[in-house]
Amino acid sequence: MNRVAFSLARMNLIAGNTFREAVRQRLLPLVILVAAAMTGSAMLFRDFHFGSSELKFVMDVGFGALTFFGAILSIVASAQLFFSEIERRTVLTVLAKPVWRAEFILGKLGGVLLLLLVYCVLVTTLLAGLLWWCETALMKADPGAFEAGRTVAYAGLVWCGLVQWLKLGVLAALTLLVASYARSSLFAVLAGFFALVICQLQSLARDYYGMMDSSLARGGLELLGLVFPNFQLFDVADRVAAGGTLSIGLIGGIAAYALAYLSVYGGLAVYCFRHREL
Amino acid sequence: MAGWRFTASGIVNSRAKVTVVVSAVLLITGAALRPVEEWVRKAEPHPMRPVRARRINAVLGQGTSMAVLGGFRALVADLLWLKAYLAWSACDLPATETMIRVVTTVDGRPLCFWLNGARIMAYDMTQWRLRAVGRGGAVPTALRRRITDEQAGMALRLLEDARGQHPESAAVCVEMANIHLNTRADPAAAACWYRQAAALPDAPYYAARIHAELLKRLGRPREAYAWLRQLHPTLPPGEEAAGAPVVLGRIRDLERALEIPENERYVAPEVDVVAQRQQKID
Repeated sequence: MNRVAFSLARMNLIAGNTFREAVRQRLLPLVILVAAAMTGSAMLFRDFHFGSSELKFVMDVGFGALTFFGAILSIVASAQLFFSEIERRTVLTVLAKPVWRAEFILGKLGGVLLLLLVYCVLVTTLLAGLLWWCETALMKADPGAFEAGRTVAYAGLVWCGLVQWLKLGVLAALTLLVASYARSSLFAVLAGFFALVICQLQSLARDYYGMMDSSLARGGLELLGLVFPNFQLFDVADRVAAGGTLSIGLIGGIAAYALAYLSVYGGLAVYCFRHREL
Repeated sequence: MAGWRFTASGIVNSRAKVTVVVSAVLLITGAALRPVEEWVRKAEPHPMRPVRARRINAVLGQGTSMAVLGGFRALVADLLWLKAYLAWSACDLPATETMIRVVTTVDGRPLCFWLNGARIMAYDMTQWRLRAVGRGGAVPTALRRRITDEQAGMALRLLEDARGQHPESAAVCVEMANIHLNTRADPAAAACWYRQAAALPDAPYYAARIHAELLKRLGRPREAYAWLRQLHPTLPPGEEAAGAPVVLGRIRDLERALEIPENERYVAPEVDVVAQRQQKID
């Protein structure tokens, strides 16, 4: 039997199907609704500021919602959409056709990335709209404070949304790698959350093992630290909310770092799936 | 039986092989990307101060520390600031002071936390303490002085910490100068801080002018004159906030007061008056 060549079209078909499945499972609308509610709830605290931190507060809550619910969506969607195919045995039907396992896994990853992109775009747009509305109201109330024009860096906001998407993408790829190896979706989800905590606390862990006396323990922990990406690099939203700027070099560096991890996790997920008994 | 054993060992071998390959690739990737990670960390224009997890743990518990370390630092600081606001509304001095300290520890990047915190300590808390001590009556001058000094000291210590985080911020220096001037009635210290503020890139124009005024008040008009002479040519003539004509007027006043000989007087750089008028009309 002649082997068919790897096809991007088939991979895109699986990605599109994965995205539709996620929307059908009401995972995306639910998470977007909750994130939007949380972002909107920042408006309730408008009377509680003393100082000029009102817009910063709205921005911080918005980015908090984007990161928190995005992480949930990323982990749950990756594990759920992969295992639903395994449990319903549809994977066997798909793979019985001339479809590569790599196409299947990368298609799943592509679908989740598309899902996360839609989520990030919607929440970031909502946040930008809220900030614009709040700022306009503040400008009318106190024109003197806005003599130099608008204070919110809307371009920075867009970059933050992009960086969060990259971070969530890496997390999704990591979860998919675990799922391609694991036997149950619950294990994959839990492992995804543990991985999130480990990745987020990388910097702190490095500070601590730098102070350890035992070189053996330090070496072991350092090796363990190499396995996980450092998610603190993606925490640029705090910087923008605090009035800082993001350089193109910084964004480029973060994007390169994320894309490298995405490729490696994707490749390893394909490798694990090829060695998996279905 | 033999077949089952063969299959089981095959699965174990396969899974062990996958585990080893995946671990090796992840280790190599981590090691290869470490320089990129370091580069990204260094590309940050103002590196974040590491969160003092133990300190936050001691005050707020591990849950908050986890939230702070988990990327919700700004959000946690905002929520704690709301808590500080509630304590401030209730004029609860220990709680307000603690919360200001905690907020600036959790996230010291926004200047507004430091500046508003210092103002609360220097001005509001002084009034709360005086009200509590006086119970509606007059407070003895010595006691009033002591309380004001203590609160100003507290605010200045907070602003010193702020300078550690924002060494290039003129707003912090201006706030320190204001506290020295308004609460401690110490124009010499205030003049020093206005001078430091004026030397910083984001300094407001008025910092340099107030420095000169304080020098005059301290009985050092020659220093004030020298400072203004040095300042005037650096001021953009078209910008109202820079107050170049005001500074020139003060230079002339000092020249008269100090009886500076005509030939030694300051000669203002020539400004194209017609062009300036045209610019105003435009």
